[in-house]
Amino acid sequence: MDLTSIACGICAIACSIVGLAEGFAGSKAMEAAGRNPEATGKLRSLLIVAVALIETSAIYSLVIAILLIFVG
Amino acid sequence: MDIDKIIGFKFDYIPGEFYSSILVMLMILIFYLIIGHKARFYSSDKLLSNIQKKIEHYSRKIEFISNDNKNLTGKQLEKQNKKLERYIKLLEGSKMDLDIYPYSRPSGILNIGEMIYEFCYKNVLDLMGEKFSHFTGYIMVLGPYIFLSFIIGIAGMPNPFTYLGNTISIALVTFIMIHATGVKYSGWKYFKRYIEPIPLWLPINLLSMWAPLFSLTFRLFGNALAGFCLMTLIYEALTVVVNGIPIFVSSIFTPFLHAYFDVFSGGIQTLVFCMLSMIFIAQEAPSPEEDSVSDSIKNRVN
Repeated sequence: MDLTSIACGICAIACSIVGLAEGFAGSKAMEAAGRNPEATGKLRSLLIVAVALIETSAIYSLVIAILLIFVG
Repeated sequence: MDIDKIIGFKFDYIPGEFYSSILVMLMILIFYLIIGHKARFYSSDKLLSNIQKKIEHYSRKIEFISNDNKNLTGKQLEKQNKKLERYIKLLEGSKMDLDIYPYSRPSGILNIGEMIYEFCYKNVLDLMGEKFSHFTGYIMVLGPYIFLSFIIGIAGMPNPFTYLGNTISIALVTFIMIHATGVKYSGWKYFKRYIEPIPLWLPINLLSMWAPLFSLTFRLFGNALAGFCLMTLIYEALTVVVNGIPIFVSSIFTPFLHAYFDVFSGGIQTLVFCMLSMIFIAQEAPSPEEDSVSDSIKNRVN
């Protein structure tokens, strides 16, 4: 066992938190769609953009993990 | 050997992703070439001349048969009359074709092309606005390329996006497009944003400049790599279990994984990549509300 593998495991924690955040975004969007079903089309694109922006932090952690494994 | 060092690309080993990427590009190119050819055929005068030829042919036949009928009797006459009726119906049909010629409906592969075009055009109008409607072509190539790249895993070929070079190059196109659009709409004033609010922030701004490129690249790369890793693990495990190439066993275990990682994930990633590139590009142009406000102010001044 190397210290890098522990560091990569810590990077995976970031992914779990991002999953939580995406869950919040999705639940709020569904509430909004339930209150105003006519706006579902607009909400879909907004939600996708928001989720994609949230996901960037998980992607950064992936980059860090890859750097740790292959470079560091 | 020296060329390898200069370009930084090894010619003795070209990864499989390179070939599958070229295959996907060729598939899209051939598809759009066929559609373009067919659409040109539909919009040209060829169809019109075809219909006119048919009308001439049928009317000549009808004349010929009705001249022949004078000498015939009995069963032969009935036969000829039936033929005559058929030809008259055909003539009416082709005359109707001539009436609806400009609205003649497309068929076969053209329907798929129209579907793709309408979907892309609608989304571009929704997200980017009227003045970016020429971006439909870019989205029409980008979307199928990403989706087919993911789907090609079903055919047993490697997903091109597990090779970082492919992913970076496809994100780089969007990245360059973003800055080119910014320069096009706000001139060289565009680069002023890197020394705002104070010139001291230049290094931070220069770092954050690369954020869209990184996020676009690693989103695709991460998703493709995750699917690739899991699929490879399962296949390797099956090889150990079967003690050979798992041709029959793998068809029981892997279809669900292929459906999730190739089709579903590929579709989502296509949507996200296209939407993000559309939104990033459209952000650089001044919004239509500002335009209308400035116009109204100008009108008042005048």
